[in-house]
Amino acid sequence: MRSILQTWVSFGLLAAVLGWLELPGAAGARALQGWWLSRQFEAAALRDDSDSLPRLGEEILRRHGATEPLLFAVHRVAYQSTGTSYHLPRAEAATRVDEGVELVERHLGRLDDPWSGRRIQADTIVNRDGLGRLRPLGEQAAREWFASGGGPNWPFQHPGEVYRTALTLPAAERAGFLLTGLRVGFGEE
Amino acid sequence: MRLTLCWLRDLAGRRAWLAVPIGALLAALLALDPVLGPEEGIGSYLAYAALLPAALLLRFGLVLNARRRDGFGEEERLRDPRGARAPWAALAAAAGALLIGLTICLVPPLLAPEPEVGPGAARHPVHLRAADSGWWRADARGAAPAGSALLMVFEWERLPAAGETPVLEARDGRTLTLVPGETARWELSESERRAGAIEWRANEDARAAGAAAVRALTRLEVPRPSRADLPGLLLGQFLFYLPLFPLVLLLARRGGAGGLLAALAALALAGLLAFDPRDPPILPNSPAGWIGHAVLGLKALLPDLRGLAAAGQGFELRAGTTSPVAAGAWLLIGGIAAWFAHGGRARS
Repeated sequence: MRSILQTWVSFGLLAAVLGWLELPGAAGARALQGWWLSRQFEAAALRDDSDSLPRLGEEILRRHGATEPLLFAVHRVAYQSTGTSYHLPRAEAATRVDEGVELVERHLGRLDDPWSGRRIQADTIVNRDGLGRLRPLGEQAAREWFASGGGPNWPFQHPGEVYRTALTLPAAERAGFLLTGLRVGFGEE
Repeated sequence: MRLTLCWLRDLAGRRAWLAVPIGALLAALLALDPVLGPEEGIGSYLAYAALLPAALLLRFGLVLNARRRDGFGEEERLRDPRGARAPWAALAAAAGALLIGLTICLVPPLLAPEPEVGPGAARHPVHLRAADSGWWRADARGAAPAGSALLMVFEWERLPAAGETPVLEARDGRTLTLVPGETARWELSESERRAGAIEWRANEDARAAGAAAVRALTRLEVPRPSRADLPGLLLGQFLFYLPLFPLVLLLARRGGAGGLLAALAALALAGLLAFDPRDPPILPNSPAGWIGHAVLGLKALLPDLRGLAAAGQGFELRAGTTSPVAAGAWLLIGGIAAWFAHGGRARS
């Protein structure tokens, strides 16, 4: 009996290490780690540390499941800091846009608010990329965001109305209409 | 009674009576602070609170070891020929310590300031796949809590014409009208909630308008429990951990194992019962993988207790989903273990 129990315990420890099961109390350790990562994220946001923010946002999502830090990091690094008032070199701004948009795309399936993810992608591509290489992704993100009406928490009716208007247009003109809609801020009034 | 109090003193000395309230206060500060706490504060608080029964279980094993080393088995044999008093006293003390500890955990959340906004809802990814002949199936991988709803986004090829009514149909005949440019919200019926799966298909009008679900934006919306639900959630933890103590006692008294080894084995069993991965583990095709398959097969035979042990990230998806039958079966297992444990003699 003792050897059976020893095998069982050894397997339990091995399985916990390999991630096949979780020992009681591990959730508490992970919650503490999530709390500490959140503090690090806040400190990085205050320092305006554009290298750490996306990495920490990704880490918090992966370990703790919280979406907002990742979306905040992408908005800050890929959208806000690439605006003209920041005077970033063009190549640096383009890299940040690429990395931010791809970061959201990589984790879209895990976000608890994927509608905001699509919105940030579309906004960043439309207003920063100049609709170059990322145009197909920008079109898809804009289409899906307008089709969702902005998501369940969006406070305005307008995205849905813009989408219904787009559906009345010829198929070839719809993408341009929606992208223009994002650029001039449809759906925010 | 005196024996139970002795056990209680051994299990939780003076330091523990001080450490548990301080730990609970600290956990409430970390989890429920309106500024510093995470969004799913109650889940984090439960995750911290679950450290208490795990520590108590290990302590129970250590005390069993210590008592064996100190010759308590021999004393028991001399003083109580039927051998029932000591194990029942041990179990009563363990249950009492667990109950008192978890009750103490109830107090700090009541002292913490209430959040300005309600707990809201969490949204979890669900797997959406084509079933048969136009039917689609969204799978939450387990029973969903009350009040859950499926959120879906549809892309359209054209606006539905006048006279067309695009709707989603369920197998039980329920329907949901679709509007282009709006997120569709499908409230789960009782049977869908229990099965954790929703099957639907678009009607002819919706298919004619080219409605297609966007898989990446499909989510299961689950209401987050509030602080008022905390007593029930902590009671769930009590019911989950309680039968592990008789199992430890059974293994130590009848199985010939050391108390600590028995406690570790019980913790591994608890880990298996509570294991609820977002994605099922990928087991390699090797001897270790075969053992993994065997253990997951064992999990399938045991009652589904993920709802009782739900804590931490994504806990709202499982909290309260354990059926009374499963909980009763688990308590019955504990009762049987206690019955057999008291028949055996502690090894001296």
